[in-house]
Amino acid sequence: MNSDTLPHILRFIGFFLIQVLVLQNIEFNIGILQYFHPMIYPLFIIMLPIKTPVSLSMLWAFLLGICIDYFSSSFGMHAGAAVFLAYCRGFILNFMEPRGGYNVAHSPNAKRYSIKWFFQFCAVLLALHHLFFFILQYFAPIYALEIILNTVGSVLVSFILVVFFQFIFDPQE
Amino acid sequence: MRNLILYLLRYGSFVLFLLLEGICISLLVNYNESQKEIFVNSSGNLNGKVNSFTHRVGEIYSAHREVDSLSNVIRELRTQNLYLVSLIEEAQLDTLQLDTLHTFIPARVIQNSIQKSNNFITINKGRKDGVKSRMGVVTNQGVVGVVRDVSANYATVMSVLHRQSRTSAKIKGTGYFGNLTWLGINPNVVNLEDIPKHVNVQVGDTIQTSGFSRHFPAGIDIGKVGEVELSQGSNVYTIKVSLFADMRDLEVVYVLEDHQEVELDSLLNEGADE
Repeated sequence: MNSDTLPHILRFIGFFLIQVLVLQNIEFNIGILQYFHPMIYPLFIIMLPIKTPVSLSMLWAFLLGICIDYFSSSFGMHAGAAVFLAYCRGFILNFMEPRGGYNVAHSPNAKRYSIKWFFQFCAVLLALHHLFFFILQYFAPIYALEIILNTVGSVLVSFILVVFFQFIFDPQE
Repeated sequence: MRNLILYLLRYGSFVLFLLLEGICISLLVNYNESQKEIFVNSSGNLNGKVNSFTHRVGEIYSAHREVDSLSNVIRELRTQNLYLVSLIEEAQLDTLQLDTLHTFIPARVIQNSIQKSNNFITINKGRKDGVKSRMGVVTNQGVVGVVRDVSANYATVMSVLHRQSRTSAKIKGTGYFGNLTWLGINPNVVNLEDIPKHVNVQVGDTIQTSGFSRHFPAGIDIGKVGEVELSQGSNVYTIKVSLFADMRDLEVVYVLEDHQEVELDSLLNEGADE
């Protein structure tokens, strides 16, 4: 195992454990506002090396999603949303390409590019992921309002978690 | 094949995306109760819509077929009408009286049987409407039977599917006549007896009333020859006749009212008195 893949595998396991053992068991309700369901594991997919083929990142995302689904008895929701995120990541990477281009061997992170760029990138992908996740969860157009409120609330909390992660661990890869 | 591979290379990630999402959604629908319910309900709705749509298409299609068959009927009736008009003209030329010997009294069948060995039909016209005993009953297709008992508003008809029913019948186009009887087996088939064996009878020939029995005027269709048998040593055929009138499905029948019954009766009685 070379040193390039190690951080990714650690993130895979770490985010999986945090998500299943901690985040799924905490209720972030503030009074009647019950729209906060933070998710940290999308960061694993977001931070895969830029050169990773979309197909491969989708397979990784599917694997991680299914693992989380298995422990939160929500078959298909996390996996579906994660696969969607991985598929979208390719387009968003093209769309948000910075002026200097990418260093394709590395992960997108705050150090390598700019903090602003990275947080924008994360916000867009988290929003897409959460939206798709709540669409799968509610599964009917009459719940449109709930879907949007949950997405907005959860993206806020997840984004705060992502920022914390960046500043605490300060990942190089 | 090469194109397929190129296509997969170019769009493989999209295909994989669809595949993985398909797996996820099938898992979602199969293992989560609320999503399953929503999925089943909405697909049920869709099914209902599709079904009612196909039902309406089928209705339109059958309506077209009905129009076709009705236009055939109209064509047939027009031909008959032309023929009848020519007959009337002929009759007027001959300065003969038209055949006003019979009137048709329409009646609705309210009870019918075909399974017994002696079958009767009940109709909703009786003495008040001019129905009398021994009048003939026909449909548009052919002969049905003979009126037996009459009450004020109803009448019973001895069907041709009665073992004592005897209807005088002849082969269309010839003068050879015989009796129609029923053996009590098949409600579509009656037997024509007493046709001598030198007559050339073909399967498919039309059988008509002869006019010799007073219940029916001559020339009303009864059925067509289905089978011709000649038993050994016999001089007469046994002819199986399949009825034109569907005895299982009778709705409107016509009772034949004979205007000259009294005159004919008195004539015959005179003859008998001498």
